[in-house]
Amino acid sequence: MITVALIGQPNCGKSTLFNQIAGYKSLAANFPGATVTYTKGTTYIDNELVEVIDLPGTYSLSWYDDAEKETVKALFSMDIDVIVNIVDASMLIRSIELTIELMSLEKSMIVALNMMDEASKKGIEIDVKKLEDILGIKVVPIVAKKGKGIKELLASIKHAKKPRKRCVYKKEAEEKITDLSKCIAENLKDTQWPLKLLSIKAIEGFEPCEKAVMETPCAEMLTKIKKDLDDGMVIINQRHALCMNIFEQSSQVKKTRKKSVESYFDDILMHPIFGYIAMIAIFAGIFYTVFQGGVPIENLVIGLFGDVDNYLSLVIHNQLAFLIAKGAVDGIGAATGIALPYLLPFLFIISFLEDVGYLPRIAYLMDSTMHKMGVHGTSVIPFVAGYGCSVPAIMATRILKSKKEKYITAFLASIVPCSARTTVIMGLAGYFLGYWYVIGLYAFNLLVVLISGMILKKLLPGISPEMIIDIPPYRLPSLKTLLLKTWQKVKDFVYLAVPMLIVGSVILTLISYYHLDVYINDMFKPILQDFLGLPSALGVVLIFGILKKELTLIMLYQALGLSSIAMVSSVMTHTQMLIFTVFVIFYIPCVATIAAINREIGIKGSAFITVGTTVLALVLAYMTKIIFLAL
Amino acid sequence: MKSLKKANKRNLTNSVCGYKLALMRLAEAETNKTYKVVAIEGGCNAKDRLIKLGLLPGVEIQIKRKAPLRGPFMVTLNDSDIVIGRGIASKIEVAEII
Ligand SMILES: Nc1nc2c(ncn2[C@@H]2O[C@H](COP(=O)(O)OP(=O)(O)OP(=O)(O)O)[C@@H](O)[C@H]2O)c(=O)[nH]1
Ligand SMILES: [Mg+2]
Repeated sequence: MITVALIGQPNCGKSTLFNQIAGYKSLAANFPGATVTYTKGTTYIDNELVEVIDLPGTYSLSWYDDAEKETVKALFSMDIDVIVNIVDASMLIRSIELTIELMSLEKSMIVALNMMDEASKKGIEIDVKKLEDILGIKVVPIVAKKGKGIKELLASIKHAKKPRKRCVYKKEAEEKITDLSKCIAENLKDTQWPLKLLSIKAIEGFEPCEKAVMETPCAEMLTKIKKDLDDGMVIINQRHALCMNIFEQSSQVKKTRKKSVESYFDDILMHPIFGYIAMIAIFAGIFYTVFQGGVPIENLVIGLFGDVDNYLSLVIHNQLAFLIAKGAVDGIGAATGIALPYLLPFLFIISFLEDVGYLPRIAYLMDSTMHKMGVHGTSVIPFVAGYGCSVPAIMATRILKSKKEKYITAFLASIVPCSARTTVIMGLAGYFLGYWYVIGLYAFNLLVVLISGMILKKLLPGISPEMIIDIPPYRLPSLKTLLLKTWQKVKDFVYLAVPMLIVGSVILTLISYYHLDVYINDMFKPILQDFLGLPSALGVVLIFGILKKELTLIMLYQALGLSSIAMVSSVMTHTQMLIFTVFVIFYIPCVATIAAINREIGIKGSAFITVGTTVLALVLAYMTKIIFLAL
Repeated sequence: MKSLKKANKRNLTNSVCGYKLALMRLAEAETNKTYKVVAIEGGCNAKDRLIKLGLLPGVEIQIKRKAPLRGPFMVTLNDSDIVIGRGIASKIEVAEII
């Protein structure tokens, strides 16, 4: 089986292409850095099975952040037969820089010239044949989003050839590079880098390469060459000039003097005053829509499942069997009736936000606020992802440059309420106390995020370089991609949370049937009842919540021994609901999130976040109790 | 400082070819005017990424908008939009094209 790797600069459409040829598996979104880890899939070319790998975008092979490093690592360590270099046709000059680097790997490759639709909208006309001749590689124009040109692309993958050798730099520079390569070949045996590329990157001052060479006897030579070539600027300039040249030879630009759609939208959405008003309105609007849409469905389903329970009690006469059946039915009912009405629309809207390209614009607006927390605007991307699910949010910290930034963002993203916690905010606090409590809780959460960030900034040493982010054009996603993406995000809930929920419900039923709850509740009494003033029965719910946050709301009423969530108000006061919700928003992230934190920032970080969030939740829930009991 | 002097020299020649000398930091530049990038300060941590995004000496650049409260800049170069922090902007040397 041959393996094909999709490689290209961030946001050029790799994941979109991948999803087109290998089935919807990778999340595409309209901001640079949407993919931070590889995804493998398969497809058929002429009845032959082919492996396809989607990789994070990288501007070049000398990585800047961890997402880019992931790609270079994969490129060097995986067995890749063909490189499909995806190039954004509307940004040809910058994209060819990567193409030239990839050519030096001397692997079979083809260029997929994507976004042809946007290029022509910008007035750029590319002579594909000419580009092909100049580069010496097969070039296939495609529009990944619409599936155009994909057949031709797949067909040419089979005939991909190694690029014809060529010199990129002027004679003087080429000679120096060759000298250094020769020296390295004699002195450095174990490197995954192609020697010429290693030399170039060392001269340009890319740290891992420079360090590797400096440890060999070629160090002196490198120092001299660097001096001669103005610290590598000479080759950088020559390469850039070459890219400009290729662009000019192969493309014609008709100046469209029309003001683009972007500028009209940006004039409002990035305005120094209206931009912020719009942002607040957009988020308040999202919460409002999800809330207003969810409550009636929650009501409806609760009624429906009450009827089913009554029916069950009529047909099943064995008490234990009835309870178990009821537990299972309640589990399914709660999942579809209480969680999904909030989860689905919420995840759908978040997907929409990601796909239109609003996120990098929020990054721009929020940059100076984020500085107060020791991070930059780019961290907005993990934050917003955190409203969906904490796991991808934590992984998204790979697009951040410094350790400090990653650490702070991971901590803060894990206390941003994920969609599962949103079900508690809306389905419990909102359902019983009203919409303004929903908004209040989200605002309160942001305030806590801000203050925690300011404290973390003081505690952690180090500085982070400022943000640099590429602003993509606005793009309108199709309904189909949005639905597929929402399904991709909610899949986990259906396959993982629902079975857990059914098992959990049955366990809860059994616990109360055998009167084990007395012992368990005694365990939680000091913290929950004495300290926070909550029913001890909620302890089990909170434990299940660590496994998967979606379980929290759904198991709540079962743990309280109620037949439906509507009855919660008969055993819990409004203040208790609020205390519970505050606790749930902040306490320990779920197991999957802890594992992700572990991977991204290490065991120390995950231990700190686990303990830190618990303490935070206890303090804030206690404060809620004091304040609201005093009112 | 050395790079600045070098840049100045380069720019002097430039002025002969139609560029008038008005050297400044990008951070002090105005919106919607076209500038030419002269140099990126060496110690700048982000230099690598800037170069990859096409922001390198000789390129024409425009500031599209500035975020309030000492926020970042949105700049246009080679027809693409990039946002850069103000600190970075203060390490980029530009010359106004008149
Ligand atoms: N107009 C247009 N948009 C496209 C095309 N291909 C992809 N897009 C859009 O471009 C955006 C980025 O696509 P992705 O597939 O996420 O890009 P990527 O290369 O995987 O990006 P990273 O994972 O961030 O490196 C999405 O909004 C796509 O819908 C195309 O051919 N034409
Ligand atoms: Mg991707």
